[in-house]
Amino acid sequence: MIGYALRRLAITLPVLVVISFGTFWAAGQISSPSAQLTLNPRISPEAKQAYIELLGLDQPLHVQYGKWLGNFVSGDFGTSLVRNGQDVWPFVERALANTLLLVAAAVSLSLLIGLAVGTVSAIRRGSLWDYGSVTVSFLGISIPVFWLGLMLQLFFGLYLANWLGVGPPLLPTAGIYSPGQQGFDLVDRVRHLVLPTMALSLQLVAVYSRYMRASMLEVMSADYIRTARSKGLRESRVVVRHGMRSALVPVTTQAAIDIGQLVGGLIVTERVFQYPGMGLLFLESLEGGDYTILLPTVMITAVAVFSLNLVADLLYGVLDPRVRLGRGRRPVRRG
Amino acid sequence: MISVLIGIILLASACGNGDEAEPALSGPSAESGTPTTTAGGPTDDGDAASAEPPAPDKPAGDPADEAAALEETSAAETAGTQSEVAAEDRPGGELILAVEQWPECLNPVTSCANSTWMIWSVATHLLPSLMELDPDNAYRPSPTLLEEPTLENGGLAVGDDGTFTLTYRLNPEAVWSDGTPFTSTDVWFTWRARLDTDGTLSTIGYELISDIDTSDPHAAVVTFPEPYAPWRDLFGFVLPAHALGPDTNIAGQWNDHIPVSGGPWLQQSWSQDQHVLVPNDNYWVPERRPLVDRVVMVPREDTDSEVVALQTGEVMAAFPQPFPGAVQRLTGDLTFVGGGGTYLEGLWINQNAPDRRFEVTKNVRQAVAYALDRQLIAEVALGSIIEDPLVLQCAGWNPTVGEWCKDDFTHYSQNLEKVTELLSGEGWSRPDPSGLWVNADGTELVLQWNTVAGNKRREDVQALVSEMTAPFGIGWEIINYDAGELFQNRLPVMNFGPVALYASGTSPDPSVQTIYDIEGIPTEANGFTGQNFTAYASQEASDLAADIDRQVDAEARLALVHELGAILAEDVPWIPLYLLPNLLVWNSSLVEGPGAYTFSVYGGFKDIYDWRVIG
Repeated sequence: MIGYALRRLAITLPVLVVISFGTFWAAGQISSPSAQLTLNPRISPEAKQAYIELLGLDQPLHVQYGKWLGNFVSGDFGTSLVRNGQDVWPFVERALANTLLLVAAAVSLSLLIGLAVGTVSAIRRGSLWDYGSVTVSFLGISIPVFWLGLMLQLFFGLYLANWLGVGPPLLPTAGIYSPGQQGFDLVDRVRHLVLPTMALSLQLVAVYSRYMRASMLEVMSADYIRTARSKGLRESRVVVRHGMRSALVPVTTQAAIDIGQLVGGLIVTERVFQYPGMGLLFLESLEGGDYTILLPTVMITAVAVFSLNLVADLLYGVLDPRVRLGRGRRPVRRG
Repeated sequence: MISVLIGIILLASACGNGDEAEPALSGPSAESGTPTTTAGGPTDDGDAASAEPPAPDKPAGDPADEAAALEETSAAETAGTQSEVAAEDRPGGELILAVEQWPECLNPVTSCANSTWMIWSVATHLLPSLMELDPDNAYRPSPTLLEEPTLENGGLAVGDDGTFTLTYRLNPEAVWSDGTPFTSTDVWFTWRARLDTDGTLSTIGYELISDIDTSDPHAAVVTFPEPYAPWRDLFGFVLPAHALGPDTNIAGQWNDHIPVSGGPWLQQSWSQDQHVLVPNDNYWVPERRPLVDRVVMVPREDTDSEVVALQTGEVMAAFPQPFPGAVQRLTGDLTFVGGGGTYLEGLWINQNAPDRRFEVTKNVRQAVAYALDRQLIAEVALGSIIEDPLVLQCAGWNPTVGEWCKDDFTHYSQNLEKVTELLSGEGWSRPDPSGLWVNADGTELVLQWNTVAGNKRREDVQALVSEMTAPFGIGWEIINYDAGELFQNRLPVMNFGPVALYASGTSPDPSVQTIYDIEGIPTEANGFTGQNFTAYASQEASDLAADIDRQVDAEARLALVHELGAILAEDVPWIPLYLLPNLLVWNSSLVEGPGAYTFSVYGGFKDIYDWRVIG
């Protein structure tokens, strides 16, 4: 396992370097690091020169890249000229924490519902429940998040409160705290997580339930399940202990991959719900031409995707003993 | 395991609650990065003034100690006295407002101030000005002044040697929120901070000042080497010298908190999540004392979500960019006022465009103007937002302010004969009567046209104009960019067009030198620092624009403006289309009072001190 992880890392690192260089080049094309120097001609020559030297703007591209990469790897994200010289890291840190919270909430909720729905659908294959869940799943996969987000906002923020004849919205439609909230309030924070989590979860539930259903159908027809039943085990024990455990493997690995992709990919959800996470930060730095925030945002997303893909692969080996990572051999069945 | 992770993250975020004074994020400026005419060109500080600061009214202490003392004072005010005053005088309540573009930082001198919303949501409520604008964008003395400087009262004077002296008589009752008197030292400090701060956004006008005499704390005597007519635009905000000094380079200060106020409000907190204002009980203007106990501004950057938040009552008012379908969507308890505006949208023609296939001569520019139905364009762009959108008939002045804007462009309406006459006169021909004009080199009359990608209003205009000009033999190649790319990377270095559709901010003062000054054409030689983005190189117009800035007499100045207007209508450096309206929306079941400042340069929230929470 360790050898496999190291080999994967050895492959991943060069890919990350290539991605980082591509990102560095592309970000420079979209949002020039020297744009602010041009826009603010009254920056003193000393300050301008210091900034140029800091970023190596007078150097060839590969030298600039080397400087940036060195700083990035050592945790020095620099300062943002667009944001008047403020440190970049607090912006990224805060956005990352918010996004991780949202992703964790959405993925855990989706796993909970998706696994249950998929399992029941598999057990009751061909039933009304099965057809119903398939239909809902396809709907969930098809509905765009921006539309779903707005509908959730209208339903929970406006229509439901009107129907029930209550004054304020049942759930806040945007932000992470109620306006005017001072200090940390767990209930308020969780209430603001509900709608973005729901918007994000619908697609994930649909995907996980489909994965779980297919996986359960395959597992439940396996020989060892028949053996378990023939030994007289209760059906619930057969399903939960023997069936679900094996069927979980593809869903769990899919969830790990999703977490990586969602870390930087919640642009629409975060925009609609004004949720200050990585997606919103990326969008705002892109629109504002903030090169210094754009780069670490993209790179952290790339690192998250690669890391969690690796975690997914490793999990695969842990959860399914038939898989022997890195041995290059097919799993051997023993009877 | 994931639940544990959520728990850990929740705990972690408890340590970083949203009410911390963290800086926030936003797009560049109003109208998705619309460039304004506020950025200054390079100047020579050394020649402008003495480096010696005037004697302060009180001994300058350690700024850090002063800031600490101030924080204590502010906290004490907020905790104690204020609540008593609130109980007696204020109807109370909490006003919640939506802010469409959250400022990145708050320093009012640096690029932070390039965000219009920094002015609208922060500076205008906290920082006092000398002259100010009324709701109709006409200048008047602010409460910091006893009177407007005029020639009659000696506030304005032109010496025999041509020097121009401007005397601001300061209101002795004016004080900062910490009780420190508002004095001429503050005016001096603001002037120096504008010039000395690294990355200062604009030095326009300030670099022309040769000295400010502060010997009388209640009179700031500003001296220019020659008359400076747009003086009313200066000191749109004044900084507290006692809180920010003695160093006049304030680049590193006030990024995320403005602890001292000279306006009706005091900033309680500002973060990425919200901006909280409470009444400044040391404000000396009784009629502007706030009626509510607290104002909370929250970011709502997506227009659809902003409207939902208004409908649900989560926010009580918003000042959104005009959006298509506003009339249909803003119904029920939502009341809105649309119109006025301070941004002029038009077709800006870059005569130095690197991608031009032919010289975009005066005849070509006029021909394009004669191929447009500008009334129809305005209706398509703004018809779903306001009734009777205002078509611009002058190239530089806001038609709703003063008498500066004459009807110089009214003769530009669709006229095929004129187009034919103008283009034929320069050797263009139209081999196919239904096709494009072709010049002697065989190049078709196709103009590259840029605007902000995804801006539906502007893309609608592009589609309409493409159809509209086809019968006139004029074609377009549309290449759009995101706002950052267009306004930060391309516009400053003249790498656009030849045609770009965008809006330019205006000042109520008729000064237009920034956009018509020949020296202001961005070039490699001047480090691309000017803002004459059309590369319009008329010496006559440039000189007139400079004369307008030197003419102090109002009538003579108006005549100069009209003279320049006629030249611009003849030369067509850009084709004015329409005035971009402002839109103020509020939930009338929750708040009353909004609307007076809808058309104001300060934004629709300027008079929130007069708003009342109901329901």
